[in-house]
Amino acid sequence: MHETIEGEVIVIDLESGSYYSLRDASADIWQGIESGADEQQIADSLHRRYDASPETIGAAVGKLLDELAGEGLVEPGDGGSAADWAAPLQEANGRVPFSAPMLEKHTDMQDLILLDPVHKVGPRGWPHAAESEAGD
Amino acid sequence: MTERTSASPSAVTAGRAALAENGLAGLQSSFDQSAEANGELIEYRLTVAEATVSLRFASSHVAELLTAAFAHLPQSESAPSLTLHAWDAASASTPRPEFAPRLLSEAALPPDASGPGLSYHYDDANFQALHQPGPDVLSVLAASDDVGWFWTPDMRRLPHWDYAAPFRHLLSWWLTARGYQHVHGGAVGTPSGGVLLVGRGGSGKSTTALSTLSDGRLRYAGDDYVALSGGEEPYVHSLYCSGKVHPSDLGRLPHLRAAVANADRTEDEKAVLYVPRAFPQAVTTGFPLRAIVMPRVTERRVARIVDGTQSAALAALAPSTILQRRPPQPEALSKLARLVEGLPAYVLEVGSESASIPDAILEILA
Repeated sequence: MHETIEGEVIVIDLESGSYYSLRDASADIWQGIESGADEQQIADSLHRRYDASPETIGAAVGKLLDELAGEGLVEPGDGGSAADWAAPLQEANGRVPFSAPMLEKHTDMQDLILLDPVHKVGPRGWPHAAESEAGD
Repeated sequence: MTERTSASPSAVTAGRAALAENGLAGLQSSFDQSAEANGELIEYRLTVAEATVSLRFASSHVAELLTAAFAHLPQSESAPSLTLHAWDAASASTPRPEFAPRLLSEAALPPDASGPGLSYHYDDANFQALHQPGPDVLSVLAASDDVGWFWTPDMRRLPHWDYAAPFRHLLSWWLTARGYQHVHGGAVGTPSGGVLLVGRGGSGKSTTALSTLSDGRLRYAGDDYVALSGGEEPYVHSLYCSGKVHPSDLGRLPHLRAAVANADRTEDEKAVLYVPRAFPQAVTTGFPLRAIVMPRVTERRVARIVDGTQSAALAALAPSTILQRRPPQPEALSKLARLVEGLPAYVLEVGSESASIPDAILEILA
């Protein structure tokens, strides 16, 4: 689950309790993923907006995608079908400085998940003494 | 809330047929049985977030424990939109309700049961239920019938966070169904407007909210959970007049000592206080929401306000609100984002001089 506010993307992982923030180029990359763009499309669009070489941007995009996949936020191979993705526009006064995209991870809610886990109970009802897990 | 009225158990008839279908009728009969055995049925009818809620108790000691946090809410004469029943087995030696799950042996518990807050949640079209095996607390809401039940074997053993914020899960489900948002945050303000204090546990929400009590210019709507109604004019609805602080913080906040309800148990749990007991004029049922404030504990002496970002405010509000909810409420993220977008966000740098906090907050509200 994710939400964009003031250009920053907030992503919450309900399973782990971790939440993440992505700003600037990271937020652009996330929006590209959400739109179905593939890695090359994302890199190309960032190159139109940010002042850095295609190699630098390409490597940074790949690194962030790996990080996102490592956190389980995207599946490897996500995207690839967005011919009409509305890529970030080039700034009117030229390309803007490029900072390596960062995935900022916050783990302060993880204790809540570890200490207070919620099990969904299925149609068989509450767990019984003979079982070791909820009924779903 | 100063009076109580008696009502006949037979007065609760709404939705019995539906409850029988769900096997929930046993809960109601268990409550009725306890009330009859105790010779008591106590009802408080209160205004909660613009609606009337009837709280029914099968014994006076359960009523006393679970109503202290609602002491600031006005009584209502209207027909209730929600009726909640609370009882235990110990007060009248009544049996465990059939609906309540049998406790699992330790060997049968899932691996993550070592934490104190493990819970099981069930929902379908007719009702939802939460059982917390640790404290053995059962909450059930039949939303279609606007009836709920809250049971535990012995209310005297109810964890302090449950009696400081009674019926938390039941009210959050009911509020959500009515279009309100139950949020993890404190709130203080004036009749014309106030602030929502957001941040993870330990960020200083409670200390900030409770620091304002002796000053007298700000009213207290809660330190941990409040309800919000949205739209273009968001409004804070107070749920609880309780507060929780680490006992060690009472040294810095000596004005709170007179309001502490569990002074004999603070070696093992947080100090729970009921604000009206020491500051009857300081509580409020709510106010228009004007800003989001993120407290930060700093090395400063005097508190001050600095600009914050809406994205930081959302990150401080949404994860804890969504993840504390049973079950987690992913759909709240979008609602909270829209709420935050419409409000200014600030950081409150809290200093060693807690008496300076009201001035800093009032600066925002001026």
